Amino acid sequence: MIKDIDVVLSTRIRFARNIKDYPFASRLDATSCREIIEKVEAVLCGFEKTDLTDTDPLKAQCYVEAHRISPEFAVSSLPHALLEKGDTRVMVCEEDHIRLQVIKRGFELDSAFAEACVSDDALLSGLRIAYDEELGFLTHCPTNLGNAMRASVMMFLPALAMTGELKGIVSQLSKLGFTIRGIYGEGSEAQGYLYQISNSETMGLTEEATVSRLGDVVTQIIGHERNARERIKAAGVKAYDPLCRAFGVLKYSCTMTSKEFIGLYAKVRLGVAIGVVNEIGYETLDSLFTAVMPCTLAEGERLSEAQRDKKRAEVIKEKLT
Amino acid sequence: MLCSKCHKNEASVYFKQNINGEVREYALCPQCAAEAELGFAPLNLFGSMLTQAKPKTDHKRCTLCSSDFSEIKKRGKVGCAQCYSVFAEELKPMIESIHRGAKHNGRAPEGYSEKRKAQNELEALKNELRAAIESEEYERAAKLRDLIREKEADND
Ligand SMILES: [Zn+2]
Ligand SMILES: [Zn+2]
Repeated sequence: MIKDIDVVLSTRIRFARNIKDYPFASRLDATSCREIIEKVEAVLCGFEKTDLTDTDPLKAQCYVEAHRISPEFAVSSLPHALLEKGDTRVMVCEEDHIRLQVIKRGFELDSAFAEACVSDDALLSGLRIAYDEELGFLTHCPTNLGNAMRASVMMFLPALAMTGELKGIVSQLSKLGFTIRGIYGEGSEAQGYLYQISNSETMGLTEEATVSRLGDVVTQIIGHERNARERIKAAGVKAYDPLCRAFGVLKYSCTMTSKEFIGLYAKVRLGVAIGVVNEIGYETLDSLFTAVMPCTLAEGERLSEAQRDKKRAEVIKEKLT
Repeated sequence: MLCSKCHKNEASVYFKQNINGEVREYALCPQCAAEAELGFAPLNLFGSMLTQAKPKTDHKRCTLCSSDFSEIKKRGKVGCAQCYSVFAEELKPMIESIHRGAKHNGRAPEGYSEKRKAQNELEALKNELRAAIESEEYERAAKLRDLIREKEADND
């Protein structure tokens, strides 16, 4: 059982680190990049390396769709590599020399943070990391100075969006030092009612305090979302019938755009959450999300839009049957 | 349709961004999309704040990355870690305004964390000393003072 998977899709902790003695990415040459990759690889034990330097752009885009790397990393023209071990991924020669991140399914702030610290300890003791007593970790972009940590949680908030309660929450969040990304109000369905909430401050608070504050806020939002869902269910068959129908359309269509997919995905996911759609679980549903992304779907082939939409429907049908 | 950011490449990524209630629509080329997606905070913010700052000396350059302040202003990002000390004075007002004057408080590389730990211990001892003097425990205060001297000598 994954913790709070009905509301929280995933949790991510990311640290930005740079090695002293090398310029930042915008001033880096290929030789230095290779040296940095070697150095990072040497201090991280048991990680598997993928050199992305000469990777086909379509393949790199697949990595982006699977959340293995950032979009910027995919198009980097300098040597760059990905080191992976379990849920920990380290992008070397990104905007900062090192972007260490741990992504876990569900609401897992504490364990994700603990895991990120294990690898970070290895970096901090094995490398000459750029640091200043007052400014903290020295990063390419001054907005990330301090603990250079971004803790974020990807939330599924359809009921709060539909009932309009999200607006009030959003304005409070920014006052508390959090950033929420996503569409609320009109167009939120097209984005799957997915919202990323993260800390906007990196200076002054310890990492632990940042994580625990984010945890408190997310816990409260989870409660509100579940209450709002109960009200939708209590509103009766008219309120939840569209969720059940969405499952039918999702399963039996012969062609589907990605926009339509996301809308149906959100409805079905809400249906699963309030217990009116029982034919499918979160695991399968969420795995569809990556499987039907354009590059992952194409598997290296160049597909026309029509071909892609047809293949998307086929993949969905196969997974749901 | 051309990319709405660089106006050079063909746009292939269309997206809506909503940050704290403000919705913006973009049509971007893959490179600009990648840039836009990634910064921890809106990237242009810092650059636009920097353009208001004037460098104190025009010909100062960082010895490690050879950036001068006008280049840092243009990019909105520094060239290397050393830039933060080379251009400390020029960068200070902006860093203070972005981070509201806060100082780092958290993880640190190995050497630093020991130094910080030692400083924290020293601070605690000094507080104890003050308390001891206030409560007229002079014998204990003398012991604490010796201990503090010892620690201070170690730290240097
Ligand atoms: Zn562009
Ligand atoms: Zn420099």
